[in-house]
Amino acid sequence: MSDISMLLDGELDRHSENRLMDEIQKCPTCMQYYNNHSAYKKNVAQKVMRKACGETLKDNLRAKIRGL
Amino acid sequence: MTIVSQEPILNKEELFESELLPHADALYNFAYHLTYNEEDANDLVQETFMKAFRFMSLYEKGTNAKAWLFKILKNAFINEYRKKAKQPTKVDYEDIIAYQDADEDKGGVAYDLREDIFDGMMGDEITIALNRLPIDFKTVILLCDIEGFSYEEIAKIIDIPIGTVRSRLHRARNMLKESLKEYAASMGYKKHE
Repeated sequence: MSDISMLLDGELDRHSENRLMDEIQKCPTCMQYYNNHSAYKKNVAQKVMRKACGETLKDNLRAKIRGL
Repeated sequence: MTIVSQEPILNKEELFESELLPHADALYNFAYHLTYNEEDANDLVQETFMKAFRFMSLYEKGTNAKAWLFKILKNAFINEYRKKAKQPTKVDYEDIIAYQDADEDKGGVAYDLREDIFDGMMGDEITIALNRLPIDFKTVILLCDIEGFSYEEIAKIIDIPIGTVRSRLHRARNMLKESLKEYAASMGYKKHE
């Protein structure tokens, strides 16, 4: 299963990706894990709250480096 | 014939503006999840950028500025915030991590969570569960699953071997899924193994 995580993390080369995808297609348990872990990756990336710093902080930084 | 590069030579301030500042929002987001406090996140981001600016001579244009900034921020966080023992779980998780990292690459069981349960969850639930993880586990999820850094980049940012990145990520995801599974069960989702 750790190979499936590496696959979804983009850590495998093309050849290893293709080989593993072939194996996953033939293994229902692997396919289920692949689908579930894909859902994990997608939901965490899309749903975890993101905070932006806003322009004020960037302007403060610009002012600070100009003053150095 | 000599080919002359048309690329303009940028001064330190221009490099700062074009190469570093575009990462401010991502850095702030990382800092906020580490500290869970807007003021502390602001301080951390400011300190990171000022430090980066002071050491701009070490930065090569076009190299991985984002990873460099994240490494500076992570070090600043460790140095100035973790020492203040602001994290209530500090005592326990160092031991947990040392123990769990020792399990590296032993093919531990992958904790699974059905895709329909994930798809039905709100962002708040996932965010709260993530922020409850011990800091070192939360960090690898933020770097990999939120910011999309490679294992190699994460290894450099947090100064651990790539194998440890893999095992820690595996543990961290299991912990997050377990927490969300408990939450889902409490909300009436059918348990599924």
